[in-house]
Amino acid sequence: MIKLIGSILIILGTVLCGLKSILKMRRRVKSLRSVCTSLGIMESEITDRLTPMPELLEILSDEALYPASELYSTVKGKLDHLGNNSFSELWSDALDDAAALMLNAHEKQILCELGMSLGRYNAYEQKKAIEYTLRRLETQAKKAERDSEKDSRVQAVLGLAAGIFTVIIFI
Amino acid sequence: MEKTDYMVSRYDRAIMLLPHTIRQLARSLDKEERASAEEVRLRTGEVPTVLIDGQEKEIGREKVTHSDIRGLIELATQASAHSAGEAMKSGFFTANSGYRIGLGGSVSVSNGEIIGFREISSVSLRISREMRGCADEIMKKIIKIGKLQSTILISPPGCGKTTLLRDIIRTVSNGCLERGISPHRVALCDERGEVAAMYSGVMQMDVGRHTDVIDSCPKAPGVMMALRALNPQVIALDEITAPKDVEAMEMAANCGVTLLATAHAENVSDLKKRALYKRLLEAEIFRSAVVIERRGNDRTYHCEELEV
Repeated sequence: MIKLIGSILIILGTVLCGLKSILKMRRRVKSLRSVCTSLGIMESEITDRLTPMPELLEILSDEALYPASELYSTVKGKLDHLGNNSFSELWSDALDDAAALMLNAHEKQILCELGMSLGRYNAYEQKKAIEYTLRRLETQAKKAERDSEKDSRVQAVLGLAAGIFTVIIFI
Repeated sequence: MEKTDYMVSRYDRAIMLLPHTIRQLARSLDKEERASAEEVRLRTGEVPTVLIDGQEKEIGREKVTHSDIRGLIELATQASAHSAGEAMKSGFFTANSGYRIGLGGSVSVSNGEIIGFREISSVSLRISREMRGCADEIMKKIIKIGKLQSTILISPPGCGKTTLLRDIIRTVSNGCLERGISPHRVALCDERGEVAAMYSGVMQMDVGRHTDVIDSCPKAPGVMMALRALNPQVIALDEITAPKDVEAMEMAANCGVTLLATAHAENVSDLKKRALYKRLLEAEIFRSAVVIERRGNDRTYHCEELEV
């Protein structure tokens, strides 16, 4: 009886590990999608309303989906340091702090490059920079989505298989 | 607050817009210099200077870099160059608290029109100050039989036209019963944002309790908007520079609105020589001209009745 309960627990544990990994991949896709959506809002605010940066960050903190909203909220909090640090430095620092975004190094670099253009150039040039960032991030999001779909099954099977394998070894 | 303390505080607040290292240098001036400083100037490749009594005084030895200029623009616009873009096409924009920032550099032109700056190489940070009561003397002369006359304020640049206009607007808007001035509804077309220094929808300068401000809007459509929507008794404009401004003022004058405006000229005869203003004077819109003369830090105001 104890062996049976132990075996079930081991299998459940490894399956949960697999599920956790699946959820992480899905959260990453969701995160990238939230950043892409927020960039759409940013683009229309800058192009159509010429919204100043403090107000823009306020809007994005409120309206963007989580976890992208966290990024804008962090940048907004850092805006008081403008003058001692450039906006691109504040933006880059906020990206470093935004662990919830689950960005890989390449995606972080894409967003860092956007920070070099934000608030510095006219609306048209910023629109171009946002569109370019959006295209690159959407590619990343699609890749993350494909990886998530492909790896989900593998992770689930691996979790179950690892559990069964461990049980067989111990029994 | 004493006048000198106020003058110093405006300087100290203005230099908060400078990049960190230059700010420290600007802070090192003595109190008297800070009180009389009119502008801080940054030119790429040159040492920063502060304009005091018409003379530029160098501060520090480090030369200004492109990065310093970019830092100032970023700070002054709160990383919102796109919002200040329209104003920047005119060569200046207004930062928080009403400080005007003039720009020089390589301009981008498309179809003969300026579309912005490709690279900004020099910046002039003008330290605007409210001089409450500076219009007291002149008010007696521009009010005839209890009625404010349409008046044009003239002087060369940097003599205090905007400061005097602001004080006249404040006095007329609030009214002063002792001097027989009843409160007037004033519409201020503040295209450059330097008179009321509107920031986030709040006026940073006192332009009176009965003043409505249309800011960052070209003067001509601003005047028409004010006429249609605000039912003003007085319309005030800073710096008439275009034929369209004159047309809008003629329209306002025909509607029975009193006008207050400023223009660049040495004196009335100089004003009459310029085609734009000649038309304005011939239209007999203005009854009085106030000529501002500057001697050091002091200004004197002469009121002249314009011939009808």
